[in-house]
Amino acid sequence: MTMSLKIERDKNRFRQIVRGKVRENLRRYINHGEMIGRKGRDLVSIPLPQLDIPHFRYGQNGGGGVGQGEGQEGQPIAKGDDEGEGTGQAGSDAGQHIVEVDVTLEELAEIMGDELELPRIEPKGNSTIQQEKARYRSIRRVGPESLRHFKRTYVEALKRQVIEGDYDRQKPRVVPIKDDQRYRSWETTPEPEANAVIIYMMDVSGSMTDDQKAIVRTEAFWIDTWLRSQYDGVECRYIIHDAAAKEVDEHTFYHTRESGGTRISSAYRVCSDLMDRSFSPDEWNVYLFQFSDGDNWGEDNRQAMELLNEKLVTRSNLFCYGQVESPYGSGEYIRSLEQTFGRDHEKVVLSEIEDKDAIFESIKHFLGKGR
Amino acid sequence: MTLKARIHTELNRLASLAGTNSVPQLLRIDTGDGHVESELTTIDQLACAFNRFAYKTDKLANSTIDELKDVANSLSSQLGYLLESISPVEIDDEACVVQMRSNPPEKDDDGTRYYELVVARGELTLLRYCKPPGQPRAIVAANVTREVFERLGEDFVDTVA
Repeated sequence: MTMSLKIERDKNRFRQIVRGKVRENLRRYINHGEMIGRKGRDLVSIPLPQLDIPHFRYGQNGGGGVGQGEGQEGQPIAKGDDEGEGTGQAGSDAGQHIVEVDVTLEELAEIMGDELELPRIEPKGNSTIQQEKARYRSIRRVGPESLRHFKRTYVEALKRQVIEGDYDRQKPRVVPIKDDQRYRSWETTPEPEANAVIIYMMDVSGSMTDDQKAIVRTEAFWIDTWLRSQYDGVECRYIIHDAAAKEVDEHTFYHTRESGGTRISSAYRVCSDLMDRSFSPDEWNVYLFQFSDGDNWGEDNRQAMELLNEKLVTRSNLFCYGQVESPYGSGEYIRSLEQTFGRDHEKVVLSEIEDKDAIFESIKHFLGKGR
Repeated sequence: MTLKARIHTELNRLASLAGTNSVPQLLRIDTGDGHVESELTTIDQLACAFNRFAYKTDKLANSTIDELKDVANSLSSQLGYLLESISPVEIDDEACVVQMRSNPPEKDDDGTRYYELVVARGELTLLRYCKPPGQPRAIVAANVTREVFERLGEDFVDTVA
């Protein structure tokens, strides 16, 4: 018992160290997207090169020992080899061992929330969506061994032995047989949930390169991580556009490149239709994230603003626009948004993302509203 | 007189007026089915700088997107003398516009610079953009030799013809 407590204490201490290191390096992890390829279903594997893993340290033990034999102090113990022919030089840096630790997505979101000082999100009050949830509330006679209820099984065995007169108070041995086995079982119950949908819209026109998409992908990973930690159920939907827009799956979203022109209004139209069809704002907390290099084709701006204002902003918790700088610089679309909504709109958040190093601040800016 | 020679003469005329007229000066040469026009900010004996260079022509007024793509590709192979490879970046079938840009753009410590050539129904327009670090992108004057300037006019007209 004492031993297990000690291990638990050490484990907690280790987790604290890991959390500290993750926190220390969070900006780098965020900006360089190092975690995205390491994401499992619930865990993220994080490389921590600076982590000192526990190791033995030997004391002095009273200083030098006593040598024996004929040699004098400083005398080589064997003749050295002749000089070799190699030309390479030894490296000057210390070798590094990278330790990988698993952190749950919830923990990661918590660290990010603390580090970015993100306010907790207050869902829009309506939890009208019923979600089937499994709860381990009942006991059954059959089930997998992994769900065996130890205590119930022994109680059943004890009852049986008492009834059969096999129980000896002086020698209290309880041996369960097959019929005594009891297993945990679940019941599904409908529970109200505050649900959220994140709709990502991305410009995939010819001027958006793979580097810009990598930035979008990194941002989306952290946005997902945060919002999933704030809501019971989060759905993600993806829309891509050039001159025309369509809803796609996640993989297509990040890996499509088109050569068409840029009409942002087309994405807004598809987004509005999607909300009409599947995500009524009365039932869902709607988050809209749009990414583009801002090179919208001139005459489309007016139409885009109208759609955004009338159909999207009013029906969403938050509309975030990230203007990712392309090799040709940043377009004018963000200025049009500024003129229409101002810099301090309660629902519209604008961010210019010059390069990967700007991702950290951009996420902070997007999620800092607590909506 | 060839188009090149007419542009040359017009440049000389505008250069002689440079001291008296306000800049930018507008160069305009009729070509029968349209005109070449440019907004010049500087003209000297060997070179000039322009904010915009355009060829407006009725020949392109009803072009299909495929015809405009052909014009764009043809210009792409001819404009090597601008010392930046210009190729189509975005093609809008609906609006019938091909947007071409320097690919890759020119980059140094002062920022990013590139040409943008828009091939649309009725006109070809060449602009130069600059995006200094931390500042918004803006149209800047393109500095070219007179020889290049004259050749641009000739190539624009010949390609559409």
